[in-house]
Amino acid sequence: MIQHIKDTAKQRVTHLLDVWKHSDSQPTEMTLALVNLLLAPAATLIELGPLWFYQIMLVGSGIYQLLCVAKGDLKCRVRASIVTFGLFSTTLMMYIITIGLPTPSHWGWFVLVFSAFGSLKRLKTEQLHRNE
Amino acid sequence: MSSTEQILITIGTIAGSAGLWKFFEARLKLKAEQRKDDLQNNDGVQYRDDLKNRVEKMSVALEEANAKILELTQKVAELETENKYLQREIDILKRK
Repeated sequence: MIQHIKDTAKQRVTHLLDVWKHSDSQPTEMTLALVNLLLAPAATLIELGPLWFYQIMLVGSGIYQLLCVAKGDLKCRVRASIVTFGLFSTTLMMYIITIGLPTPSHWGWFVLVFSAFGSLKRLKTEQLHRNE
Repeated sequence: MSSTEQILITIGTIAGSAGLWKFFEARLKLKAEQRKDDLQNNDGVQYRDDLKNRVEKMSVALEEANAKILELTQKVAELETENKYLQREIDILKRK
């Protein structure tokens, strides 16, 4: 019985890891792009005040990533994902430097950094498989 | 936060994360190459390649054999016809 539970749990975890590594990342890319385009500038503007250079970059990167997904160009998507990952890290850094992460809801930025990194990794794996 | 600080933090963090990504990218590439090498040196793959070669050779041999069978069938038909005429000639000669 215990062995059966162990085996099933192992199978499920392996499946989850496979999905994490190889699933299609376009929906995640679009979500991350929309977060950079809408949520991140609004949230940082309200909580951290006007940081124009950084906030304009957020909007720009969101638009660029959406354009790349729309074009379906893998190289462009990888480039956009690198920028997105960088900007999510920057957002996290901005929060840590200015007001810190005072409430658990702020820890969501860690999730977004992690998600951006996962998406980037999946894209790179796809690129390597296609030999582009 | 001043504009300069903001710009420096933004550029610095983006550069840092890009550097971190480059490191992971190199690891991913290395793993992909290793996987490719393993696949090429895999016994199963080599066996499959051998089988492919054998099938190709056998296909060529089959085509050649088919051509020869066709040629032989034609010759047998010719010989049958010739035999028929000769048999008729023999019958005629016997009656004489």
